[in-house]
Amino acid sequence: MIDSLVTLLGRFHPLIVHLPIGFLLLGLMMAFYDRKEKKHLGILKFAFLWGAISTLLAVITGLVQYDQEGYQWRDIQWHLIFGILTTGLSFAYYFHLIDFVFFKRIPEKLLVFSLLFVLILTGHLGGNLTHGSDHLIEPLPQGLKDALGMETPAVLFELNPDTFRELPFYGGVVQPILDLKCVSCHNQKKSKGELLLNDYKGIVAGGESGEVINFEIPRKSLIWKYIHLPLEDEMHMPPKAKTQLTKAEIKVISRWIELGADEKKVIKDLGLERSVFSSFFPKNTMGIYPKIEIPAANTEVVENLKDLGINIAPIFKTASFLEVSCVNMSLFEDQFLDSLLPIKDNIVYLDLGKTKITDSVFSSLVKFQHLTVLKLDNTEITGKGIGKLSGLLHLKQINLTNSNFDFEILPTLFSFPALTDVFLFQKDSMDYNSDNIPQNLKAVFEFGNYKVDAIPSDKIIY
Amino acid sequence: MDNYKKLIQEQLLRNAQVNSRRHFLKDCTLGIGGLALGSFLQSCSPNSIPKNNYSTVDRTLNPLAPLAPPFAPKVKSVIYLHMVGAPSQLEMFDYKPELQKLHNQKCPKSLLEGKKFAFIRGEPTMLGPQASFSQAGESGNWISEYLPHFKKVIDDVAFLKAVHTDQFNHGPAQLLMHTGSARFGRPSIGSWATYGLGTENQNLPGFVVLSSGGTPDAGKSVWGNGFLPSVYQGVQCRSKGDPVLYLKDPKGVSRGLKKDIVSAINSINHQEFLEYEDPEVLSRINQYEMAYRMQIAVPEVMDINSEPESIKEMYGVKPGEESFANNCLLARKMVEEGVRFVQLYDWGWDTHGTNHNTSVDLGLRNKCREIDRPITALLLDLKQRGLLDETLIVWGGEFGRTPMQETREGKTNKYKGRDHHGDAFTMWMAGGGIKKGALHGATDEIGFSGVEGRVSVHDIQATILHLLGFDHEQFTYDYQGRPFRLTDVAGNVIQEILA
Amino acid sequence: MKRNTFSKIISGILLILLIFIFFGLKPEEKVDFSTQVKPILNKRCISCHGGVKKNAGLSFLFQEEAMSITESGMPVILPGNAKKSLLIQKLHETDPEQRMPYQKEPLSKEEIDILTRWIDQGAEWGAHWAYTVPKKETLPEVADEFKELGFLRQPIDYFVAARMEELKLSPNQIADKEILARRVAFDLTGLPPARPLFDAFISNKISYENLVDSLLNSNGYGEKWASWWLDLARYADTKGYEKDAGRSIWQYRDWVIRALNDDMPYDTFSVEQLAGDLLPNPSVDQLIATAFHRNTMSNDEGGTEDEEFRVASVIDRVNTTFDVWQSTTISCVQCHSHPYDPIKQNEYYKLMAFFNNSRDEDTPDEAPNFRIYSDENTKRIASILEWSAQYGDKKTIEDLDKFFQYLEPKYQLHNCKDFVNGELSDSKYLALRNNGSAYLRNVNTQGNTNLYFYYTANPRGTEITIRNGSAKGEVLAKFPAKQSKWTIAKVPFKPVNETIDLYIESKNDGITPLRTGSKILWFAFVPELPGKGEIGFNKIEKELLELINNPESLTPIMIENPKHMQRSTHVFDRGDWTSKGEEVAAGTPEFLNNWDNEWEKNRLGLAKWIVSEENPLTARTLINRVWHQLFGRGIVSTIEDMGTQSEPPSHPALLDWMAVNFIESQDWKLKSLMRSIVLSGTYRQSSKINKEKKQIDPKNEYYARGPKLRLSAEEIRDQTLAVSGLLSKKMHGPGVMPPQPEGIWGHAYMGDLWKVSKGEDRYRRAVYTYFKRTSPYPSFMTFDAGSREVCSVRRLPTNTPLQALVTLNDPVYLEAAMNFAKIHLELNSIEEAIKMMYNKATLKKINVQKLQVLKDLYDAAITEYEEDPAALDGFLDLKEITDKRLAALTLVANAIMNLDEFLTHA
Repeated sequence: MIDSLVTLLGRFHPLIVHLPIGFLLLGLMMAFYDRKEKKHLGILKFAFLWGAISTLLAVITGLVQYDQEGYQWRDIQWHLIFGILTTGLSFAYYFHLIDFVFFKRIPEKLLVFSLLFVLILTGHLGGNLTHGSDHLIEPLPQGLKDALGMETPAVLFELNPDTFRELPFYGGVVQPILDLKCVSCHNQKKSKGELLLNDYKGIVAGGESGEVINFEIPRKSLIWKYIHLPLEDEMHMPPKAKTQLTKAEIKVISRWIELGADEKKVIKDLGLERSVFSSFFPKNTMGIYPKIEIPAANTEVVENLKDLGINIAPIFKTASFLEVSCVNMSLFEDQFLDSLLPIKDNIVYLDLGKTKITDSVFSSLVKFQHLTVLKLDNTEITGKGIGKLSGLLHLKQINLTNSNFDFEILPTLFSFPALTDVFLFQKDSMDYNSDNIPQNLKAVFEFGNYKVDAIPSDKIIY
Repeated sequence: MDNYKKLIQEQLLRNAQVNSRRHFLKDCTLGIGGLALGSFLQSCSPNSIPKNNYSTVDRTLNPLAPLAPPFAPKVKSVIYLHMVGAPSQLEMFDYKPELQKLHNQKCPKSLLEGKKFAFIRGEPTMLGPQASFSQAGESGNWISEYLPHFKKVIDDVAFLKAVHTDQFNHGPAQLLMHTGSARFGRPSIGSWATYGLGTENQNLPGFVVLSSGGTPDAGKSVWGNGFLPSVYQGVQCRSKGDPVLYLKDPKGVSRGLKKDIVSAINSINHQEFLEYEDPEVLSRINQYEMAYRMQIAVPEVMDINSEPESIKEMYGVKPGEESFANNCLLARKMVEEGVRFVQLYDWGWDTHGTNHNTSVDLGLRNKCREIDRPITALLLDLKQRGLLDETLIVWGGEFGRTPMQETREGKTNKYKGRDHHGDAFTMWMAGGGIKKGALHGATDEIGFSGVEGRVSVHDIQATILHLLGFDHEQFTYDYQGRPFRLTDVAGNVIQEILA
Repeated sequence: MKRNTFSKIISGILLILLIFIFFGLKPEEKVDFSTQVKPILNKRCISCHGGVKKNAGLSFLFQEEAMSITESGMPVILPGNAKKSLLIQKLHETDPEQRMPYQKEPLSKEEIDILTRWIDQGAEWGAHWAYTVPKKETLPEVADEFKELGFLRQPIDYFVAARMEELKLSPNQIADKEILARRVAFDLTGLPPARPLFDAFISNKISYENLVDSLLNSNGYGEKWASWWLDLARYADTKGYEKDAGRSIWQYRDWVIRALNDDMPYDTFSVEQLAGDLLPNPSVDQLIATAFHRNTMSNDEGGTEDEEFRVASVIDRVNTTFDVWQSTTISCVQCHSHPYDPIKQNEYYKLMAFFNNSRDEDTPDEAPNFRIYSDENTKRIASILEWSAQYGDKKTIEDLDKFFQYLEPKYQLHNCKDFVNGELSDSKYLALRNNGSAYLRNVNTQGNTNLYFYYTANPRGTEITIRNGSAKGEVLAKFPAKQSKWTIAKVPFKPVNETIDLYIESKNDGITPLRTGSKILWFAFVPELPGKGEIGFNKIEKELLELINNPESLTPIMIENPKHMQRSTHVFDRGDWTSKGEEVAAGTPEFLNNWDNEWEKNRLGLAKWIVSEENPLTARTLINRVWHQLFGRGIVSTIEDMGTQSEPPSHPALLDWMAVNFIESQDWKLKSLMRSIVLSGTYRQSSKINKEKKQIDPKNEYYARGPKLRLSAEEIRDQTLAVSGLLSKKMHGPGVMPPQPEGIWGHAYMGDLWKVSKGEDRYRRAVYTYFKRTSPYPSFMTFDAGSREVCSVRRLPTNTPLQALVTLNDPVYLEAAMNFAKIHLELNSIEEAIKMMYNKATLKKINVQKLQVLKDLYDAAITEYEEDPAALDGFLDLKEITDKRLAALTLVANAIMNLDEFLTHA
């Protein structure tokens, strides 16, 4: 029963701790106000007496809480020391006010400012304990955080698929992996096996069991050996309980060591093939779609269009770009496109294949500015007026398979800004002489019409 | 303008019901969503409702409604070509000149200890490759003379030369390849795909199975739904008789009459719904409408004769028969119409050498001819229609075959034949997200075990899920108190063959 | 003035002290381990500190492990002192590297508080609710409102009412009589109620109780509940795996139907199936009952190792026993100790030891089989034994009688080793060529003088010699294997009384070196038939051999290994049967009731342990499963698992009360249990859903309304045949083959064997349909039936377009619709006919709109057939001459048989 009483007492610390803040701050303000005339000594004495007592009470309840609630010493040590200091200083100031023995000789300014500083510091540390140390910093805008030199946690180490070759192999790829998976136990604060892996110097220096990189025979390096050991082997690194290296990460570190564990060399000069890095490329790439942030489409409109039988879904769960397909709506007509206008900026993939659309559809298609893939296969489209689409900066693929496309119109497509694929295979198509297609656009136009004619060996039964 | 109004009116009328049903469910989805969901996903207690919070309303009305994958997908649909019986990689793709030198010599002891074979006992002799090989295409990958047409598309394909599995009997090996576990009771890849993504075309099944030459040894479980709701089960389409069981209207019942029957049923069911307000009734009304539409859509897509002569000639189809060529053409037609997962099985590759048809030099060559032209035509046809970049094609068997000549009951088989061998065999992939002409993995000089780039069955499944837009370790379903995965507890995406 | 302020301060302090004391004395709320602490441990800790992974040597699975010293050198839990316990400190850690749970978000304040208080209160470990024996609960008092509504008809209703009260829910009123009659008829017999019975109930001639009793006593009851039990028993008419050849095991299905109809108590029902063969001189029925565990699959694929698939069957038997009787997922424990329930790995293999000594060895003939001879032959064998009884002792006669019943014990020759000029053909039969030989090691012939063997030999016959120990050993038997198809033969054998190795030699110069002389499947050593040397003995002996060679039907059963053929059972390292660990003896898991030493140390003992009143799970599991069949949802909703990870019971008191009541007052009788449920007010409620209740209780967990369920695959077929007058009431017999589309059975080896049954067998109840594992009957699969390769506890109901296609276009349903229409065609008007048909199908009176809808359909059909009469010939391919009226009415019948009201019971 007593034990629960004591714990209850401890629980009052967060409440009581606000009293000294109140009393002492008011006291200091009054002292400041009264610094010249010194008319209100009595009030100041009363304020600092109760200020000191409340600080003492706060310290006592704080000690009890530390003891009862199982807090770690190293988290609360500074907060405790400064708390005691505040009590001492507030009593000192009180004794100074009542001219008690030698206290009156301490200069008042020193007492006031040191008391103020100590009070604020203790309050701040206490706040960190209860609400977490990033409580004030977290809401700050990202720019300010960087300015303050706050290193934001490396959210997920990713390589840019186009520019990764220029990165130094060690600095750009190997060290970030070590930071993610090894540095948590091998850093200055806590270096297991006295091995530092947070920088090149530490790696080369090695740990208690000597060097971890063997430049003559790379495969003998301890790092190389430990990351290849089976999981059950107790020398296997990282330790069984921690998060393991993925196959790709093991491969990167091994290749780095095998190529001489150099600090500066760039990936380009080491001649490493792309597949070694491909698992580090960002997963949620936009692929062929525009890399632009746009607001998500209004769900009410999307639901109503779905009710009409049109398939609408984001290209992946968290994307705001949409794929629209009329595969279930063979009745779809040009005018229906107007019902898609409310979400026109979100549409990047539009499949109008096997529907009743005609050439007049191009005039409304122009409004879909982010359109990237347009499928008009198995329709009556002849291509008249397709030139209007040259304004679409992101249009990459047009599928005109089995439509009535008139090949005379083909040249209008040459001027399209972003075209990569146009599919023109027709059922009973005639051969289009492709020499008037500019050399650089030859790969864009796919006429299909492939033949797999029977060959003599097809007839032989063995 | 009035034509527009009339058409949209008719369209709205047809969908007004869907509308009212969806809104009815949505506005009280919280209220009875649980009920509807509960009764529909009977085994899912609250904590195991699929975490990737699919919009429960659509899923209740139509469990195959199309959904977006968690990550950016590379492909929209998959065609899986499975050669039942395990094709001999040593006569098709894996060129082993050393093995030719060892022909008819005793098999070294070291290869045999600790190994379990289906039939081989005692000391078999080595059997050299029966086909001559040549390099083809810019990629210069090796191809045997058994597959002359394949040379035309070899550059679109990525080879995996060192796939391995731990099962050496047909049934369990096929189950492992298609459901991630060698035991019965797990969902197949197609079921996981339609469970995760639904399907685009609402008038066709989401997961279609086409078989030629016989059914796989493990029976229907290789395209079964396991513990997932049975709506995600593969639907077997036959090229003879009704493509889907009981699809055709019975004799004497015209389309119009069938429409009257279905609308009579649904209007009475609607009254029943108003009295009991049970969402299952709404769902049943929806299924009857879909069944009616399927009766038109499925025969249409399954009708090979509607294709032009040039295409039929390209595949070498045999109308009216059950053949792999027909099935390849049907697979392209299905994917073009928006079916999510098409699974082909071709039976007859178990070349043990017990008779003429199962001999590695004769029977196998006939089998290769049956698939060579259709597969080449399938890849080219998809490419010319702009579908190749949106579709993943996977080719393979349930394991490989031994470099040694098979002996059965101590006697060498009459014909040249190879026994089952799971340590190293060849599979290939093509299409969206696959690096063209890539070659990953290699086997030792006689093709017995993989020495580099070894890839497990679960790695293949992880790669398929990755290309569909899933992280195979997060894509789970709760059953018997724990989350289950297709790739069970293993599987790494094979980065080396990704573009 | 000073004194008075002083007294004020004192009284203030006193008041504060009083408050403290008051709070101090109030007993702290006791933390309950299994409902508060265990869920936290399961959810947040056990994945890294449990049976599978024991990081830092710490596991929260067992009490001693949680309290033991971990790698940190001291226990993480110090009972009574939460502050100092490492567990609590680790929860408060701020450094992510140290904080638990490692690299996941920290526990919430309340969770830490629960753990802290739990440790302070002495960290008592509690057992999971399902592992403590159920106690008889007293009936809770409930508000009179329930009484006035007439809801409280059975004790069950008190518990349901009490829970409803907690959520301020009130029950639905009672369902209309027609709805209730149809619901209870389907739930008890799987068929709509017979017309006279239904009319008597509607016109109040008989009460609801009489209706229930007559339904329970009808044969339909056994056939309906047999389908449910056969799912659990994974019953099928074929062996499964790749070959999936036929298997004659239908006698077991008939035994289940008879046992259910005779209301055999559930404990006897369980013991006879688990260990009928071990009961004191078991009857024929008790032997056939043991076929429960012979439903496991057996693999005849060429090149498969028989021992591997024998072990697979034994493992399946352990898993199925615990799935069916204990709803415990014991299959996880094959490879590692259970991830969340307190079961260690070696306990799995102690259970396996009970099943590891049965005679079956995955052989193609599926021995041991119970041989049923024709009545006349049975009499002959009995009289022969009687005759020879005069000359021999009782035991020999008994052994012989047993041998003629199931040909055991015998030695399967697939265990032969070290072949010369011979091998195991198709990995099954000993096939010896000329000068071929092989060893059959450690055989104990018990000094018997007769060798029976099952063999076949080709034209020139072969000379077989069996020697003792080696090629030069003493000749024990020498006999010519004359040319014959597979047959059982008998030759004299030299008596030997200790375990020896048999060296089997075969000589046949007449055949080419590569030809196999003979194939032998098994040897059996049997005592001499008493009466040797008496007159007529040889004739009798020859006749006896001829009799046992042609039994009428075989049924695989369980037979235990005799003393001299016992197998040892070992722990498999990580579940792999090829790497055997320490040997274990038969024993049951500790976390359940303990073993009574009087019980036999074999399957019979295990069966008694399961049905003993101390076992906490058996009764609860049965109650939960029956409740799930009747209400569509179990009291514990995860009916396949009652372990610590399962859903807590929605009505714990009800479950326990029913479990105890089932054993004590209903003495394990299933019919009384079902009677008590269907008579309850909870069951009789109407299933109408109204808005407010939907908000409070969307999943109907509190049973504030009656169950509305879709009919099972079997019920849909049976009802269609019953309503259209085609259903045949014939019971029992081998599996029948109703029409199914061709090409379903096209299997590479066996071609198309589905021969549609003639006559009455075409219209039998669904439970009698022949069940082939690799291609089950298609319309059952579409309506969610399982493929019965493994025990399936639950069928997941779905709602798909393929189901619509079956009931709209399947010839079986069209034939029924035609017949249904034909018997109503002669009524005076079409409206009359439609009214009659609707009423017959749904047992409800048709309302005006529905009648109009069906009449419009009829008229539309009539006009179409008038315009195009040609459509009528070969109508529905049913080879019936149909006029337009019959055709139109058939379409109406087809529509009625697709209504939601028809395919579900409200």
